[in-house]
Amino acid sequence: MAAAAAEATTDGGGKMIILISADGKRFEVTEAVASQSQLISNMIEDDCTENGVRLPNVDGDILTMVVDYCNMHAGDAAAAGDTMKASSTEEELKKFDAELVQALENPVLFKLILAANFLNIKSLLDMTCQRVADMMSGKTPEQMRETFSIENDFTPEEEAAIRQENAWAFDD
Amino acid sequence: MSSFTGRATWSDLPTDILVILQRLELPQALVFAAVCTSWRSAAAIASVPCSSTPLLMSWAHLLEQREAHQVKVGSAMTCSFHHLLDAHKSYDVSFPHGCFVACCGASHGWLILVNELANLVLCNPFTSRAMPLPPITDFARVEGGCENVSFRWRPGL
Repeated sequence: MAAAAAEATTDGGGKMIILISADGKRFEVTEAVASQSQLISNMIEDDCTENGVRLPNVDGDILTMVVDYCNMHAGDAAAAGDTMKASSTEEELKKFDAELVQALENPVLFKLILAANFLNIKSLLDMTCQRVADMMSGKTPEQMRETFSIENDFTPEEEAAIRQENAWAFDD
Repeated sequence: MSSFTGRATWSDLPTDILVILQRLELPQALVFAAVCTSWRSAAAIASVPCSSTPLLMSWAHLLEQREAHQVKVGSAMTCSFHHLLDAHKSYDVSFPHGCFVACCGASHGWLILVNELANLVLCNPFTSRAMPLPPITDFARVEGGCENVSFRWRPGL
């Protein structure tokens, strides 16, 4: 990964950026990879990435996944790099995304959504939110609460009123 | 908002993310809004219920009942909503007493209904909100009338 990234320096986004997770893990990535995050892209424009970018909101294990994702998708942005070892084909990307998203389970999925939101990586946020929507599909409110460990904080009266309002949606 | 690295829970998700979670089709979006208070307010911000796929509405059985004079004035009306993506699934949605004699259109999630007094009512079947419009009989050359249960409406243009 590091080698491939280093070779990419010939082409436009050559500078390396260091990302530092909440627990102090350091990730060295190219500008092209990092700027898939709109947040970091803005920081690069404003020249404030000199001493590394601290991400106090993102754990190392989550940042690992985010960096993997961005590495994989950097090809889209830096398509010009013919010299670069053929960047991932569309099919490979789809497969990678599908596998990543399928493997996501509760606590990690949750943190990844927050990280994607914070870093402002739209495609990753879309993908993870879609996964949540899929997990919700066909469930009753009670089953959703179980799936996502949510406490029912409606009063019995409120809940009855909600059910009454749209009784048809709660048939099964 | 809770710290990202701490023990945040799904009900603490920032509202703008919850809004993205509203990719759910209609019945599911209403279920989403019934899970907890913070999801309910997120659903309200995303103006749920909005459905990306239109629902098909049928009230043929009402017309049959009406033909057979089985419908009492003032009774609640129930229509079937069919999901276009899942044709076998249909939902029976009830309308408030007396507000549904005929449906003459739909726009932005609101149905334009004719009530039993021959007046128009905007009705949102998913929020159960109804907005009566001024009586059409106030307009010149408009006659509204109900004979038995059959309905005659002559907009004079």
